[in-house]
Amino acid sequence: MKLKSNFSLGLDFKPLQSWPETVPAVALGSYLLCGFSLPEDHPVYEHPLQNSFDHSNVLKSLYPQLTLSEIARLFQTPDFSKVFTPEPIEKAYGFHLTPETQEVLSYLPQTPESFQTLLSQKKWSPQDLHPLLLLPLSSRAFVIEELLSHADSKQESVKRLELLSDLLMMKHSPESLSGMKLEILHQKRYPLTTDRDSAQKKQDLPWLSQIKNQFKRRGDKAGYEVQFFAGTPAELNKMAQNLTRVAEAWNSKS
Amino acid sequence: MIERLEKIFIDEKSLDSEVAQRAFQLFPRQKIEVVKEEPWSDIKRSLTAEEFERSKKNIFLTTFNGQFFKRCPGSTQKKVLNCCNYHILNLGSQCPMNCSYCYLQSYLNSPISKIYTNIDQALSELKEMADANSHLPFRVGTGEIIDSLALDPLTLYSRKLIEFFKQYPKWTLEFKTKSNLVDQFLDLGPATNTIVSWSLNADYVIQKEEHLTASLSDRLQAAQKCLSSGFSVAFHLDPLIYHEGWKENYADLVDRITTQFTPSQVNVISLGTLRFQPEQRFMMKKRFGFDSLVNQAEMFPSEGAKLRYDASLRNEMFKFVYSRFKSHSESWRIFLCMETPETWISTFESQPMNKPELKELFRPLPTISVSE
Ligand code: SF4
Repeated sequence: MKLKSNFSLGLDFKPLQSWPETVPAVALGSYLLCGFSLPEDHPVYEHPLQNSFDHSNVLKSLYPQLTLSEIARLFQTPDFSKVFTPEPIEKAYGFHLTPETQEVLSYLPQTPESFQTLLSQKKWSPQDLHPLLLLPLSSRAFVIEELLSHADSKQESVKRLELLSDLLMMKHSPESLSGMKLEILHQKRYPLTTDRDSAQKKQDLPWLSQIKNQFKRRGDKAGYEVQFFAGTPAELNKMAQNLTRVAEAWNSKS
Repeated sequence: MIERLEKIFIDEKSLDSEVAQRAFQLFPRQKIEVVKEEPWSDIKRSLTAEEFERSKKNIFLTTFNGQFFKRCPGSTQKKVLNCCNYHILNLGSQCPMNCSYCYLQSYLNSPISKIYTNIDQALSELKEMADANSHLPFRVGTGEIIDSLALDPLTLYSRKLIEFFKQYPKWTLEFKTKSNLVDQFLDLGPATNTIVSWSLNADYVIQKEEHLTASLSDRLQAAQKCLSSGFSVAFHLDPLIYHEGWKENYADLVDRITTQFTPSQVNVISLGTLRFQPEQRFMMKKRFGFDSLVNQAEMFPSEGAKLRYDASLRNEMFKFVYSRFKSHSESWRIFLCMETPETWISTFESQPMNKPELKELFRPLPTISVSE
């Protein structure tokens, strides 16, 4: 066991989980792998660093899970190439080895820390970020700001990113998109479908008041979601007759 | 078309093949390189946009060691799609043309175009199956992961296939192309069980989306040549692409077909609307930007996981094109490609099996022993 002060901090990738103070830290040769912020006299176990050896398994046993942002930061650390190569790490953490993943990983450390944290918290994958890569650097900053300023769920954030990326590429100005609700962005991106849906929605159909109905889009189809309660066969019959009337009216209008 | 190839790599094992010998006749020596290994074979992942572009301009003549013959992807998704009885013979991969919507962008991982030089092996595989099922009307196409004719001036495979299929009159061979390269086999006609088919689109869409393909007039002219030489002809109006003025443009396309051909001259017309795998979006946007109608399109997840237009818009487009054909003559044989039963019913008010003119195409046939 040696003291932390004997080791290089050149692999400090700002891991999200702090290393417990009661456990010795671990180094690969002279490069510290964890406990970067512990006191200088903290004990460190030195794992031998062998040339041409895949050390990703050591990393994986220390950090069973790493987020996209953490891996991106690790790749950018000054001593990374002295200890690791990217491919085994990408594989160990289940990323596809595509050129786009590599582009995402090299771009992420340049983004605001708050954005990196957001990606980590919501477990974004490299593919989720592809729409960002289509944009010039100047537009990327705007999109990141937008993603940070909305309290979206992961699914909503991913959707917002794709919509913003498409709309910017369709030459909408950032000002016209800033602060917009997801629904409005959707309407801007899908104007034809929005118009067709609202024309259908406005149809005056002879629904019975006991039949709750809502016009909805599900993927490539739009239609009515219908809900009713029938307490007797006679009531059920009444509903069925009404549904037939509605279907006829709908058919004649479309 | 083959002039666009920048480099022809020949696998040393294929040096004696007819295709390799022909390459030496057709291309200047400096364009040809004999190699021991497939170029760029270190790339074992999906391609970047730049690598995909490069793969269109470089070709590798080599042997294929797998099974050449398989079923159409639509026929393996019978639960969700209505698909005709179609089998596929793959004699190479990639295409020198460049359509914005091309599904090869998400399908191919190979960093180079390929032509398989062991066609004789493919033909013996085919012979085994044809001999066992010569009484059944199977259809075999060669244009799944390569345009059937774009590279044919180099391979001349059309000639071998046409001759082969002449021995099995119940079986049908289908070439599918967006080129006008037919002169190399016309002398082999008549051969009515060879259908030369063209994917056709409105002039405007061809110019905007189907880069490096033959113009509409050239495709229609090539179809006329095939007819005159005794081949069958079919048209695929696929993918129909929504755009401002689509009705006028597709009406014009239908009118051009119906004034130049009679229903009895055209084996069948298939219709399909734009569709693609979601994974393809990124590559398409990167390669063609948002001037492309395909990237501007309003697409939604549909059955079978592909992205498609809103179902009611698809119906409107199908109905429009279908009625335009039928307004010229009721005898046009039209079917929808890779569509759901719902779309069939809302367009035709019936399933394909109930349309007398299409019954034969969709009649279930026994599965023959090929890989799925
Ligand atoms: S012609 Fe066919 S194979 Fe070639 S690029 Fe166009 S869609 Fe793809």
